Amino acid sequence: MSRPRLRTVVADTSTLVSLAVPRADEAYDTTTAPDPLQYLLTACEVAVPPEVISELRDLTQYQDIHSAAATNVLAAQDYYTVEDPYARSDTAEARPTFGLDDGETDGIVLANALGVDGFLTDEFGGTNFALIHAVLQRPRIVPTPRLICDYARNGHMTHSEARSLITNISPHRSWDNSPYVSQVLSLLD
Amino acid sequence: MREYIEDTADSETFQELVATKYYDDQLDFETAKQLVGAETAQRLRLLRSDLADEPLDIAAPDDVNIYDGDATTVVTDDVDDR
Repeated sequence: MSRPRLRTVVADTSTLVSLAVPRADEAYDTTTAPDPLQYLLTACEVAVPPEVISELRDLTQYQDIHSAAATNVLAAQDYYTVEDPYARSDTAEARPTFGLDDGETDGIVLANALGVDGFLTDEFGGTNFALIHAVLQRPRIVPTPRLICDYARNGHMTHSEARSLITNISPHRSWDNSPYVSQVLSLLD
Repeated sequence: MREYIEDTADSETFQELVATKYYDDQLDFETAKQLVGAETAQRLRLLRSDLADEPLDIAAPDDVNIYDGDATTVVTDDVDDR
């Protein structure tokens, strides 16, 4: 049996910012090391709801790495599509109440409507993970570290490059103490 | 006593310990559920199955400049020394 394909995805704000952190970090040399945002945006068809764009714009007001990361995601807008999930005829006209934030909720509605392969999120440490899993219909939930790990397991980067990316993103995204991230790193040993 | 257990179950370190033991197969799902509650245990179960999955089939990326010019960078203090 063939492996499940990940060709079309909807990404939430947290995933896009996490993947954009390495390129936004002056100390991380993406001329020689892989840029995971470039990987995502050129290897998958990516769609996001307008709310994610608005959350990214809010982040750009600050002076930190999250702001630089969000600025870069916005600069790469030719490489993803923005679609309002509630403008479609096959969805509800207004945002449902899942108990999640607006960007996540809209992303899930869009992911279900488009029938994409995956919904990318950083929510693996929070109580929302099981909830997101439950409200997604066809799309599978893909935690950001798993995506990076699978670039390596597909042979698109080395295991050591993937480890290094996850280790570099971790302190900026509170992944440091996550047992899940430790397990993903051990898959890359 | 109950308060102690509730406080402990909510603490991040305790949850991390349960997660690690559960991922390493040293705890079963029912025990994990009693220790951290149904919602967290369900998340751990989903993540454990995610970790056990075969790799997703992902296409090769293209080496193109996606940033419409130069990407923005900032100097961070806290990366090198961690």
